[in-house]
Amino acid sequence: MREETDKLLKELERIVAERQDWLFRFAYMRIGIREDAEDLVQEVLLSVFRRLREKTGIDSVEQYVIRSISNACTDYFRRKPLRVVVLDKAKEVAVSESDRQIHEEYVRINRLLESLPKEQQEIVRLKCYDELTFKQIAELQDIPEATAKSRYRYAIGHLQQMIKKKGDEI
Amino acid sequence: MNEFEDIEQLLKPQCEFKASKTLKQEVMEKAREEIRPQRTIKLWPWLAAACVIGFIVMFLMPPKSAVKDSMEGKPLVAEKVEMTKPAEEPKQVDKTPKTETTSDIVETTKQPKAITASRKTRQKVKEAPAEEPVEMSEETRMELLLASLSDDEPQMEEMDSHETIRQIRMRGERLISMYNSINN
Repeated sequence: MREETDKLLKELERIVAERQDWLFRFAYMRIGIREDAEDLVQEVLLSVFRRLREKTGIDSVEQYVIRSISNACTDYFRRKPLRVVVLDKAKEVAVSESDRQIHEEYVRINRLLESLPKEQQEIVRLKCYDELTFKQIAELQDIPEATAKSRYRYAIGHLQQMIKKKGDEI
Repeated sequence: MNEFEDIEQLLKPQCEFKASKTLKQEVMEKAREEIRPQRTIKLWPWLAAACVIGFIVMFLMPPKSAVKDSMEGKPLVAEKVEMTKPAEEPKQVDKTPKTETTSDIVETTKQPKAITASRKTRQKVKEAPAEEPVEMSEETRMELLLASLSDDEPQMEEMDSHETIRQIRMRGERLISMYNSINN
């Protein structure tokens, strides 16, 4: 029993070490608040640990972690709709000096994607920023892989045109 | 095609995202807390039950005095029986022979006192040697009788109504018998 729990703790430690930064980035790029993003990461990691303890059999820990953090972000916006900050005011949100860089990155990406439909925005984030494969995106979004690919192409094409327009204006 | 890749490059992360150092520690601590075995038998229901039983015992227990009496074994009914016994005594007086001397009369008229007195004193009275009959006139006899009645008055007050009536009746009967004997 003791050996089993030690083994579980070691497994969790490994997952935390490997995935905590990725999970934090995933959450932060959608929420924009460090404390809340870290809370979500903590919840996800503990849920993974509970699954491992129950031995319900996670076929792929990787896939389970991705789905968990995605669902946690969706739930967050359902629970706290008032905390969503309008992008124009995002720069005004009090951010510590160490977090200034990541917050600027959050604003930059969201500015680029704001003209896209929400489904396309999410697919671009998942593909470019979170570095997921089309197969993983399709599983996560419960859509066919081809749909994920086409949505991505449309999104990039739209961004190309937008950047061209802006260049011509300048 | 190059433009497509440029856009992709533009959308890739430009800086490192680092979770705080405490995050790992917090997760591990919480995981350890979850593993820690919890008490399977909860204590609070048993404590609550014990308190309730305590209160019930406190309210349903008889008072201390009642417990003391029961420990000493003093049945209340037995005491009542003892109280009724002296009332039966006067019946023995009725059995006395009708031919009485003057001393007997004096003794019997004083019996209400003997009822309240203890048995020993009554026995002493009975054992006392009978006085020799002295010849008395009618007047002296009547005086003695009245005196005996007047002596009894304070005691009569003490008796309850039932006994008093009986005593009065007995005395009346004796007076009649005395009167008859004198006439004879």
